[in-house]
Amino acid sequence: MMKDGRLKRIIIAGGGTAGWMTAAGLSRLIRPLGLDIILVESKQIGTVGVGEATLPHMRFFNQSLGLDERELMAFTHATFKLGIEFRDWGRIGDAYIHPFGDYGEDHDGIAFHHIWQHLHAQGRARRIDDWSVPVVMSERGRFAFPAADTDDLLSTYSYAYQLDAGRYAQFLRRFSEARGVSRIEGRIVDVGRTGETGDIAHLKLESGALLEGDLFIDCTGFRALLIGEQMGAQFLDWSNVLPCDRAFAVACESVEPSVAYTRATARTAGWQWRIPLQHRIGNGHVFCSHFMSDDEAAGILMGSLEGAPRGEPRLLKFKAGQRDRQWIRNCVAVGLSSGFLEPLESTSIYLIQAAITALVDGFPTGAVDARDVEEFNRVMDLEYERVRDFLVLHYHATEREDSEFWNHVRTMPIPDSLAYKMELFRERGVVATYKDGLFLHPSWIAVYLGQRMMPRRIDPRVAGLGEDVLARFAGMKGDISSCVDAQQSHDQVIAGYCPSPERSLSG
Amino acid sequence: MSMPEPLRANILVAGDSLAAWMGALAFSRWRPELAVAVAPYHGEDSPIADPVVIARPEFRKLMAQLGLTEADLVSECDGTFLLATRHAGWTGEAAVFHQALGTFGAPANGAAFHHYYQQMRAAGQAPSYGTFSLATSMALAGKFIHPAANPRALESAFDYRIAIDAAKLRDLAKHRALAAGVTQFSTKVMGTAWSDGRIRHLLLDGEQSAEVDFYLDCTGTARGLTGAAGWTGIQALPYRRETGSVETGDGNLSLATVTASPDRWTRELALRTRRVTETFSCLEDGLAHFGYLAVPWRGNCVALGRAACDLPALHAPAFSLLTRELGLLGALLPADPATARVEAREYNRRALTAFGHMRDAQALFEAASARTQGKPSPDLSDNLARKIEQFTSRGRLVMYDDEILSDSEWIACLLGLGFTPECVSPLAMAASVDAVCDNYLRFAKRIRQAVERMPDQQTYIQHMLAEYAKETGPDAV
Ligand SMILES: Cc1cc2nc3c(=O)[nH]c(=O)nc-3n(C[C@H](O)[C@H](O)[C@H](O)COP(=O)(O)OP(=O)(O)OC[C@H]3O[C@@H](n4cnc5c(N)ncnc54)[C@H](O)[C@@H]3O)c2cc1C
Repeated sequence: MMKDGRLKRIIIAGGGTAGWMTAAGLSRLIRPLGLDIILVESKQIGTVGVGEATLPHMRFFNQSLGLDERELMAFTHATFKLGIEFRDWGRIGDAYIHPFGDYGEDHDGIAFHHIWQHLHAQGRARRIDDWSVPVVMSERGRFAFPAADTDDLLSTYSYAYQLDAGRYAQFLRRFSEARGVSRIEGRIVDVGRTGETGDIAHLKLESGALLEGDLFIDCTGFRALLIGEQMGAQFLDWSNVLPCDRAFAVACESVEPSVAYTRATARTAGWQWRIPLQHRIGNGHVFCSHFMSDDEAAGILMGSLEGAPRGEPRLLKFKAGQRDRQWIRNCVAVGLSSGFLEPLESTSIYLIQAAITALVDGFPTGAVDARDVEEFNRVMDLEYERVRDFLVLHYHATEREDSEFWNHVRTMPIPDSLAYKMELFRERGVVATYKDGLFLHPSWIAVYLGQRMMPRRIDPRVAGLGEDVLARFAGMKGDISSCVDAQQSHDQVIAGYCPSPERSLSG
Repeated sequence: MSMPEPLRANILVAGDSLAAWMGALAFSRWRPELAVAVAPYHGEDSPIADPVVIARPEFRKLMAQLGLTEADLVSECDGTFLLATRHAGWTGEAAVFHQALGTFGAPANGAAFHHYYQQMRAAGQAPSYGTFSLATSMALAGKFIHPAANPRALESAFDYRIAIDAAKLRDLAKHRALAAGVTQFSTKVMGTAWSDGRIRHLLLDGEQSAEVDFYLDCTGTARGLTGAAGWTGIQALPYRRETGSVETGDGNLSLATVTASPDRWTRELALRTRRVTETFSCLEDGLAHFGYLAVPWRGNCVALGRAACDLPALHAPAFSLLTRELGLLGALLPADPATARVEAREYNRRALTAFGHMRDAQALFEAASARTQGKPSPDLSDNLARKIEQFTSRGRLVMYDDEILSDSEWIACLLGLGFTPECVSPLAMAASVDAVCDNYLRFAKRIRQAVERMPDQQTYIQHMLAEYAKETGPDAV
């Protein structure tokens, strides 16, 4: 297939979010080199059909494609997302928001959360949340775009979207097809390999057609048709630390003004999501089948919907983990085929984006170079491991003793890398950070403090801070509060900026 | 006759080095309520090992915590703003390149500039890589301004280091530390009594002893408190250092030069009142003493500066590492050293990472030099081997946690030392070579024009000093 040693044709197997994000990315960034990009998908099989909450990084992906934000948000019925509210995680009755932004500001090398803890101990500060602009905005139903000027309080946060992922894929399909990506409808029934190299040579469709290519991107979802079944990448099972393995998903009608955050409420054997879009609310109950039956899980979900359900709940089965290699020979896995870490922190679409970025970075123009493969796998392993640790933290840092599930996750052995981080914070309030980690300081602080892991010791320099400094920090809360009060409501911003035709907001 | 009572304090700093007084000043600022004392060490050979130290941008944060300003460094410590280092001779007599902070060129279509530069080079239209760096162009012209605050302005696209007279900085730190209440013991530290992984007390001259909560070993290569235990040697040629210095009233203050030949290298740079030349010549049969302490924070004692890590001087590692060490120590300060196990563990993890990075930066030059001389490459760490491999395969720069050199410095050094990418990012291939050349040559012209408008560093500094004199008055130190 390869002409003059140059790579000519890329086949993307699968047309879910991963497939179309890959098609869009490659058509914008790589296709100008004169490559053919073909995406094959099967309506008969369909997509996983969930995945509505995202992280701020998605904006940079969309910007790199040159997508119009207003158009995209209106088309996908999107709302803004400033963070995730966690209810009942540390203890039943607790709630905190993990915001996409900073808390307060550091002072002379002293981390803000230490100053807050000091003020808290003196009775001058209640929640650290009051020092986070995006938390206060979320709680008051407000929204404003972040400011560019770094001296402005409004520069201290970012935002993501809550959107209809199916429509996001459609949007990207339109974008990709306009840039020359061909879409083929058909079911892949077999895969042809080249004898001498073991590379994939073609995909065989149910119709009998053969799809030849030079590079194959496996976006076939949990099936992992190419990377797993064909290339033999092993699945590294992480259910020992992330035991949830099923979810029921159902949408319901909106009942109140939309809010700019996703909610994750802990349940007896898992947790439930609530993702408000412009025209409906997405809901799902993620649970561990070892501790709860399907019927009970579905009952909990349906019994706690705020609006009328828009259909029957759909069951999804999964296992947490990743492939031991995500790129093998001329086959690269992107999306669920490469692994899945459950949707608690909306990381899947981010991981798709990370894989596309790494793929473009090492994109073969001729034969695949083993050095590119090695680097891709190294980078993606790091991404997965660091996301894993952050997710496990939510389950493990709990005081809940009210069910077998919580007793299990509270006491299970955790990865050494996470144990190290937790001990460092618990003992001394220091967040161990890494350059390549997705979640930065404020995210870890949000979960640690939100789940009652108050450091035993803090920076001793705090004790020497003068009253003027402490008073300034104490007063910052009021500044944030008045700044947020002056903002428009989230619904007003949506109505003016990106109303979707199906919008049914009450606010 | 009974033993005299041990001398007491909260923190005792052993040594008379720059690290010692910086450490003492830092503690006096961080914990003004504690009693900090400094005692000289009997075996400390030369407390000022480097005539000049170079502060990287990371120092700014610490500088603010220490209550020092750039004007202090320029005025009191003969400081100058160093914008670039011109390297010559590492891979052959004619091979010249510039290492500088800040951006080179500008990224386009998601690809970093060095990919486009490779295309320009292939088309025979590439002036030197440094032409596209504002810092380098300013350095070559001897100019200086502080970077513009507006990130969109061309004049924001660079950063700088500060070259400082080490002895004067030590004196300044000492003066400030004493003014802040630090005590100076006149008796020398003669020995250390360790038990159960902790220092019980120090033996001082005249049968005295000192017993404190926390010790800093700043005794340089004598490693007076920590000793040789846990010292991990690294493979590197030992060097003999010769230092020369000439008075100067003018000349280029913004540029340092490093000139290498197979058995030596010479660095020349300007302080405000003199030019300093240091030559490092290889001692083929000498014993390399370079290395680092595997556990720089042990029990109630932290080794700082050369006592913790001693590396060849090419990237002026001593002060960069001291900056990093003090930054880490500040962030991990123990409330009670007796219970600081996690603080020590995290400190050691991150300090060792920094030592490794600094070592790699030097090893890159040794590897390049060995390559051109047909000699076997020195042992490379996995990190550095990967960095070189990924860069030469397709210009991809792998950066790790807690790096010290910036990405633009790594790229400039890799390219300059002949680690040329075999191919470039596909993102850079979409544009026509003519358009690429046209675009970036115009960019280089904008740089030239911007540099022309800037003052030379002499003038800039005179201005700064005049302002400083107004603020501090005639008697200030
Ligand atoms: C319960 C749950 C909740 C989630 N919530 C979130 C969230 O909030 N945020 C987030 O970022 N992510 C979330 N995710 C993950 C997210 O849904 C996925 O990452 C995303 O949808 C990408 O899926 P995919 O494209 O890899 O796979 P799929 O959507 O399964 O697509 C697979 C594609 O492959 C095609 N295919 C498969 N086999 C064949 C074949 N034989 N022949 C032809 N075509 C074939 C299918 O037709 C389909 O087009 C969630 C996942 C689950 C399970």
